Amino acid sequence: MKLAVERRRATLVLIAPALAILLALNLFPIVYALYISVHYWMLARPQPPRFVGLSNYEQLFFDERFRNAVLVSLKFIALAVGTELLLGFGLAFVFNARLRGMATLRKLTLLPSLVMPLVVGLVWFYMFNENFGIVNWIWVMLGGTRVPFLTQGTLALLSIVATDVWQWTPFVMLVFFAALQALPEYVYEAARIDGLSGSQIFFRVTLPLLRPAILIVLIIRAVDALRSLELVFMMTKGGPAGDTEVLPWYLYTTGFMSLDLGYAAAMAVLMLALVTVLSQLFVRQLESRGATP
Amino acid sequence: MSVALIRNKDVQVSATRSHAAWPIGTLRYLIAATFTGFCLFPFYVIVTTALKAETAIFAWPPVWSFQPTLQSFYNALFVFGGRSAVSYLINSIVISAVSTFLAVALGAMAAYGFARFSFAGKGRLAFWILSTRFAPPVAFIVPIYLMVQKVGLLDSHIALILIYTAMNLSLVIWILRGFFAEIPIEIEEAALVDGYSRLQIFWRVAVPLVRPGIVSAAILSAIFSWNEFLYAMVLTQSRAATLPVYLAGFSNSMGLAWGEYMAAGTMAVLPILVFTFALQKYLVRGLTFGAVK
Amino acid sequence: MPRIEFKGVSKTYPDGTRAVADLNLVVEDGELLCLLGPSGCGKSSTIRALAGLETVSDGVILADNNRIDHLPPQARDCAMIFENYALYPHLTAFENIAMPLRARRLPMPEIKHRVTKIARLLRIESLMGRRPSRLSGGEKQRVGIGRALVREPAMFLMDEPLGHLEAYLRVELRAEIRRLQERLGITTIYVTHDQEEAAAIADRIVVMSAGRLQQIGSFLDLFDRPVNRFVAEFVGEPPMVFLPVDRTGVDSIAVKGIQIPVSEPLRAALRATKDSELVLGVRPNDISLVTPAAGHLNGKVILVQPQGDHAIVVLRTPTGTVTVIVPSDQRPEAGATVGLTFAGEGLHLFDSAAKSLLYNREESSG
Repeated sequence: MKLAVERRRATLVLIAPALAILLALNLFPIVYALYISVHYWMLARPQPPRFVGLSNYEQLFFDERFRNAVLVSLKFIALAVGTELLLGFGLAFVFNARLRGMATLRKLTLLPSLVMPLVVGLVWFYMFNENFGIVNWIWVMLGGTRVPFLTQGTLALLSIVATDVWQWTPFVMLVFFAALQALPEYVYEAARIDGLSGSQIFFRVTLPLLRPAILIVLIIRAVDALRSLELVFMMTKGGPAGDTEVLPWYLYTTGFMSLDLGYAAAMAVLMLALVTVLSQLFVRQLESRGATP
Repeated sequence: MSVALIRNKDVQVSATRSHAAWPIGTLRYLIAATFTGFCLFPFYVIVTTALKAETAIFAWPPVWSFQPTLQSFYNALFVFGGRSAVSYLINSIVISAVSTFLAVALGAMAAYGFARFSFAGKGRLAFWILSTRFAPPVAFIVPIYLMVQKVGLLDSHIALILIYTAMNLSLVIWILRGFFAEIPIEIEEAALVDGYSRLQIFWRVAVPLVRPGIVSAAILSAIFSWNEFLYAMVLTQSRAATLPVYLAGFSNSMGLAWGEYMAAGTMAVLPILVFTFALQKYLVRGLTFGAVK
Repeated sequence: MPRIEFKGVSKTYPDGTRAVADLNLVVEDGELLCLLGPSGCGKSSTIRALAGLETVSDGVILADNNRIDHLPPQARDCAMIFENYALYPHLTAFENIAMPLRARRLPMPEIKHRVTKIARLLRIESLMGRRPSRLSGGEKQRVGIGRALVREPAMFLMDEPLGHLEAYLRVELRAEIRRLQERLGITTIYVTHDQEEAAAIADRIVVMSAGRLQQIGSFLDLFDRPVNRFVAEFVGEPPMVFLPVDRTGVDSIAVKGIQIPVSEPLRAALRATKDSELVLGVRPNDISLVTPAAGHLNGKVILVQPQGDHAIVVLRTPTGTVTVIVPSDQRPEAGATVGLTFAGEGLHLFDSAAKSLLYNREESSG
């Protein structure tokens, strides 16, 4: 009897503090955001917030700018994450060789994924600069003329995508590299004995065995790309004319420049719903690999 | 299996780990080196720009050899229109350190609880905690800003510390749970028989055995806290403002103080550069989030 | 089908380990040859070199007089069964067995036909839709066997296939493997460290130690006529007993001063050598227990292990520990002092180089 009581007490003591912080700073804000989103709440105005039901959501539905933000976000995610996955996958195979120095090179590549994203935005802002940026210098050397990378329509979005690719391909590569290293060697011996050619081995053995890793890194990158705004903040500020206004940026300006909290909260709730769906997918993928606690 | 077989891993010719034939090996090195160079080049830009005199910064075509000067660093740290970077630096260090400590302490306790005890709803709770890793700060800042304002903690260290702790708990718990689960239960059972309480066992037996996991979790938490931008920008002003807030101020100063901001950028990435290379082996396991073993 | 030959084959790993040293071996067409030996003796390296999973450092491997040691595994027409099954974890049992056929791009109906036939043969039809994670060890190995069989290969290579299975399964499966092999007449090399297994299924057994072939022959060849101490000790359970002896004359030996009668061939062998550091080898069932002082040696009974119709008796003697097998009704009491006699016919003598004085004429390969 005493043993069971002590166990329960210990469990509580161990888990409660972390749980408390998460409930207060993760669960509660979600509920609060829901509450805010059904109010008309302008921070700058002296009037108290006014309950308006679902009208914020209704407004979002018809909001052209919101639709654009979602579209831009989707384009950004598709381009950036797609490129990162392809590059990272291929590079993992390149690095997957026991040659001298490869390990050091591989470790060095991780830096872009670890440093402050804001600084990433800062330096690429410098390099994409129309007047003295290095990217333009290379472009001119290759025979082109100076291009306003960050202030011209689709180019601006592509520049942001390129920066994101630079930043996160190493992370993707690391995940695939670890997955490759974890592949059981004996399966490859069996495959060679069975008579499978190199490409057959890749498509019938390696790729299927890597599927879980692919899904996991896809979801992680998609969610992280969805919520990132450091690059837009530093490089384009949503411009030109909304061409790089991703959803987080629209939310941020609505909430902290226009100070329209109710509207921003509605966007936040929608975003949270989407992220919840994606994180459920992630969790289910982990579960199917036997990572249950 | 014979002993000789175990050593044979070094020479295995397999589909995944190629014992490089001459042209393939050179090609790998070429691609790997190019990619690594591509990853590291912007860091070179940051540091050199921080060391350049103003004329060199704006030069076109870009200047590759120049007379280095520490003027920018000096300005950034001590002069710069009254906004010296020193206080921002100190805030970053303090807030990162304290939040890391909290995240690891509380996270280790909770991770141990999940690893060793079972209770109703444990699985679901664990996955919910895992999913908080995906929480988008941009969606949370609206409610959190209001919450922090209401308790009068705007521009305070404690607010950021708690938020960063919450932000990192998921990662810490997920990493350490795996490490705790690997400890043979017999060691703890022996301690139980010797008369230790469960909490004592946690502190005296389990924790020392998961030191690599703790290092891993601590490094990653510190990095994420150090790098975090949005919460810092929204919730702090001057007293508790961190380095990213300082850097964010750049985008408002019309691009004139490149040198000083690159100097600040250097300071922002330098710790990462130094620590992550030294502590690589701890990083990999943590970053892949155990999703890939 | 082929006749396999190893000519001067050596395998040295980059870290310097010499796994196989100068192996000369012929495997006859259609025979089941066992590579027997302890861990690290080189048997796995040998079979892997034959499969093409390892390169050969020296020498050549021939199949029907064609060199194959430079070919990749895909080109060697050999099938392998692994100790840990090596099944594709992401495929069902059916797809696992079908894989070699898909590699050769056979049409699906043909694949289905052949896989089902094999599944029926191995009695695993009901498991075809399952993934390896949902199969027991024995079932997994049957799938492995099926995958090897389905391509009707020229050679079968088996690397301790039954090592991870329970005892009764091992007995059952090895009989099945032997039956199949005999029926199909496929040249088979079977690696094991279990001599009982080797004795049960092999046509011939190769005993290996430290990368070198020690002796090749049938089980009885190895048992009755071991060429060196290693083979003598390794083959036979309980193992042979070794006692150091002194030479008392040009063709006589004694233990602790008591003369031991030896057979004429052994006396002849003694006359042929000047070596004086000799070791007597005698099998536990060639030792009889008699009244003390009536035997060649006295011993104190430490342990009696009844084994049904016989008993294993462990004794401590002045020259070491001795194991004896006696009929059950003659077993002594623990703690008793008894005499031991060594039957003259079944004695072995080993010189200072651990070679048998009697049988070391056949040095190596068959």
